[in-house]
Amino acid sequence: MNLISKKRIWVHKNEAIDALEIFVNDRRKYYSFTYRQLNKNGQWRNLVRWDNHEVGPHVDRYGESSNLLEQEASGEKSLKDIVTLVSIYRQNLMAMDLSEL
Amino acid sequence: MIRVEITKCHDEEFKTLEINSFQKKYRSMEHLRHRISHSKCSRPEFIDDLAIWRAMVDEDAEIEENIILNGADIFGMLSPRRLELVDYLSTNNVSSIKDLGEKIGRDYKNVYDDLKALESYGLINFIRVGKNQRPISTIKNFCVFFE
Repeated sequence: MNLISKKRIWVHKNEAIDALEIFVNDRRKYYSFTYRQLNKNGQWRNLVRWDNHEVGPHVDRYGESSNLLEQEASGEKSLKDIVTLVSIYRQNLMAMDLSEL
Repeated sequence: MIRVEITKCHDEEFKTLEINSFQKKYRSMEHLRHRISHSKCSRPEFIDDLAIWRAMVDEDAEIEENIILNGADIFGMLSPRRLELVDYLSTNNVSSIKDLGEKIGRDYKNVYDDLKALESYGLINFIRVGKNQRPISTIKNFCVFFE
């Protein structure tokens, strides 16, 4: 079965994880998990993102204006891993060592 | 602990609208790939859009969408008038926000504000059709769990 699975998991009043997983013949081909914050103007700001686009599994950290600040390789992630990680650390993720995430 | 799970069901019409909307927004997949390589990961939504677009066109993939909220915050945003909008959009098609306002007898500004609040929680989607943003609702289930 080929499936596009989109999930938004709210972890706090104005913070959510946007998850996108694409399965081809039941095998996960693509994933992205983006921890984002909704500002007062109703605009989303990306904070940390895990995905397996092109260079393989990696994690990105974004700055104030959603500019890419840092990128590090990471292990393959599941949505469960990310929900656990983000729920525990939330915005502290912005100050943590990216290679540990 | 209260947990709210919203399940959306996207049909073939939704897929067609999404593909058309990608074509209007990015012209072609090749053009989008070009924008991704130039944006150097500063616009990750481009990467997601390309992955979704390819899966819809090349793999004929189905779309499943869920929203999960922990806590009761959503109920502070859900006024009877906003729920009325979700209910109306679940069973009726409108061509634009203005068209929706006219059909339910409410002014554009209030309808726009309510739709934006509903969109931020993922309860409705906007599809770009020409110059208009067409609001749609594809909610299948709205479940509240007490855990």
